Amino acid sequence: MALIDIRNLTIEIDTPTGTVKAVDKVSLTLAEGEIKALVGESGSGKSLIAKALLGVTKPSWRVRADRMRLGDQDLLSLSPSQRRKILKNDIAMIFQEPSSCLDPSVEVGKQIEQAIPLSKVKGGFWRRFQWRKRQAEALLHKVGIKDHRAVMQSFPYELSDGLCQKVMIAMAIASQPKVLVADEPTTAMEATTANQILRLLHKLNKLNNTAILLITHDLHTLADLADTISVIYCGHIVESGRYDQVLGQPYHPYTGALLDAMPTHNRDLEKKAKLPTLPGAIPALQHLPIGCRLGPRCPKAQRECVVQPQLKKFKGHLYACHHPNNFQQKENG
Amino acid sequence: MLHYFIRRMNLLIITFLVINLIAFLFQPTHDANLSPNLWLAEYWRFVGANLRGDLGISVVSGKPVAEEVLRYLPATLELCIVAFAISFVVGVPIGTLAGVYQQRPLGKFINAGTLITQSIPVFWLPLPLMMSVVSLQGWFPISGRYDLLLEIPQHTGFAMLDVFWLPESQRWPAMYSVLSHIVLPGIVLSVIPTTELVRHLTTSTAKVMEQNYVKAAATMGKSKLSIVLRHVLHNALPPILPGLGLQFGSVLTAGMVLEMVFAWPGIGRWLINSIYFEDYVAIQGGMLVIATLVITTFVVTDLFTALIHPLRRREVYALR
Repeated sequence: MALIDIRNLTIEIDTPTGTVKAVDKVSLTLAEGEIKALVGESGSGKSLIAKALLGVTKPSWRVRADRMRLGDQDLLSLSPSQRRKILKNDIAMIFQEPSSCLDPSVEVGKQIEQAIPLSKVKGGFWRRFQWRKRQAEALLHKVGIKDHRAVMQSFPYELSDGLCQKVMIAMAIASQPKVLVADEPTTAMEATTANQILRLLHKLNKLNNTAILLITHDLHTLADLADTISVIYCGHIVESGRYDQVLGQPYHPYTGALLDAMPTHNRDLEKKAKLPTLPGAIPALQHLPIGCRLGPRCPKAQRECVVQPQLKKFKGHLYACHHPNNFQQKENG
Repeated sequence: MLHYFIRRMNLLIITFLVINLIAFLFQPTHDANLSPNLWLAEYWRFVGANLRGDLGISVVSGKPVAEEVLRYLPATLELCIVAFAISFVVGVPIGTLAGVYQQRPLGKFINAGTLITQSIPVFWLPLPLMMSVVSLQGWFPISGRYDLLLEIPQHTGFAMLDVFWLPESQRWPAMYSVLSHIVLPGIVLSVIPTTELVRHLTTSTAKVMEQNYVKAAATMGKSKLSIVLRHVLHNALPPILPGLGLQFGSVLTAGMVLEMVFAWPGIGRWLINSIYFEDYVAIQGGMLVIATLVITTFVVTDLFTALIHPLRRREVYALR
């Protein structure tokens, strides 16, 4: 059974210019121990899905779904205290700009200790203090920080972004959650640090069997990390499937364009030639095109595209397009 | 931290010298035709005397000014300290609430209330208080520091501490009298720092509430109350402390005005009487002491903030 099961999630946001449907009928499932990547441009609603999943919404949002479950718990009908309990024990989240997500006036060590639930203490109450400290050190070792003493004594502004993200991960796994939501965890980091973080996430997934929902705009970061990939455009899932399916045989023109826009070494491109991109920009949520939302930018758009395509399934590979790429030859051959 | 300390001490010393210079130039006996060397020597002698606590002899009472100041200043300081204590007890919760609910009716209500209270002149506020509650019901005394029948010895000058020199049988009645006398002036005087604290804390809290770490804390399953207590207050209160330290000057000034209204035997009354009698030595001495006190308070609050708030320290390092 899927660990996270979201069916037809719709998020509407009240704005001064009227209600905007930021996420429209998105379905997601996440199995235990799976790494799922959610790929999309900024503004496509991928962070909103994560926030709705965790229940940290603003009053101006309206979240509706046919089904949103974590294990056997219904996330839609939770009291605030039940939700806090779930957030404490079952779901954790890490963010982009990690140094701004740590309290700037508290030592890192204390913040990690606070993240360790007291319910996990063994022994009497007098041992709690020492126990938590040792546990915090162990967590830091787990995320690959060897010099635990210096890190625990410093304030967040004294640490680099990479270190802060490791600390955030240490805090996130303190309660041994079933699901880790990583919202663009490597944005604005140099490649080596980003790789360290991704490798760390991979290790956690393999060792603790933590399911990871990886939200990113960069197909690079998930190239060999994700088990399954969902591509989201303007609040719609346009393509979803196993990672070799989506990256190897993208059906949707948008996924194809994302892959084409990635710089590679083995493609025949003229020197200083521009990488192929789609024309135009992601439309504002107030002015969405009718039908397929990629329509005005799509190189293969035809008359049928004014009707919104439904998600179709082919060998476990979901796509929402009337004229998919790489499809004709596949069907014939 | 040491660098910061030295910088602040520099500020303190230079301001002290400037204040002394102003006082020196406005001395009635000051001779403008002195040669520069002699002038400088005179100035240093003046500063040295002030540092030793020799502020001259009052021409009216014939006593050393320093002695007079030490006698009257503690009464005013006691009033100011009580006012600040009240303002913290009242202002911190109100300001935090207003900041957390800034866009809601509660925040707007507090904001409006603060503006109204702030615009009331502080010397007017005692009058309706005295006329309504106090004189009709007789809840609190409205003049003096304690009952005239009490003889509290002057050791520290702070009546709340001096009562401990009394024999045990009189101690607590005297304490009661002192406390009941300070209630009204304390409350009235606390209006100034309270409104200032609420205003600053509201903006500061609202700013902190927008920060990522507050949102991140919410995703860790912490309740709103614990987020506010553990993260928001911790980051919103320290940055506004130096500003409040500066408020000490205006509270002291307002306190002097209130002393006339409440017949409080403090430095304000003494200074105004000195002005009546054209006692320049006393005016000069009083002004020097008060000015020094104000800048010292500011520097001490600033150092205290740097001690408890790491972000303040970071600003220092960034400036260096």
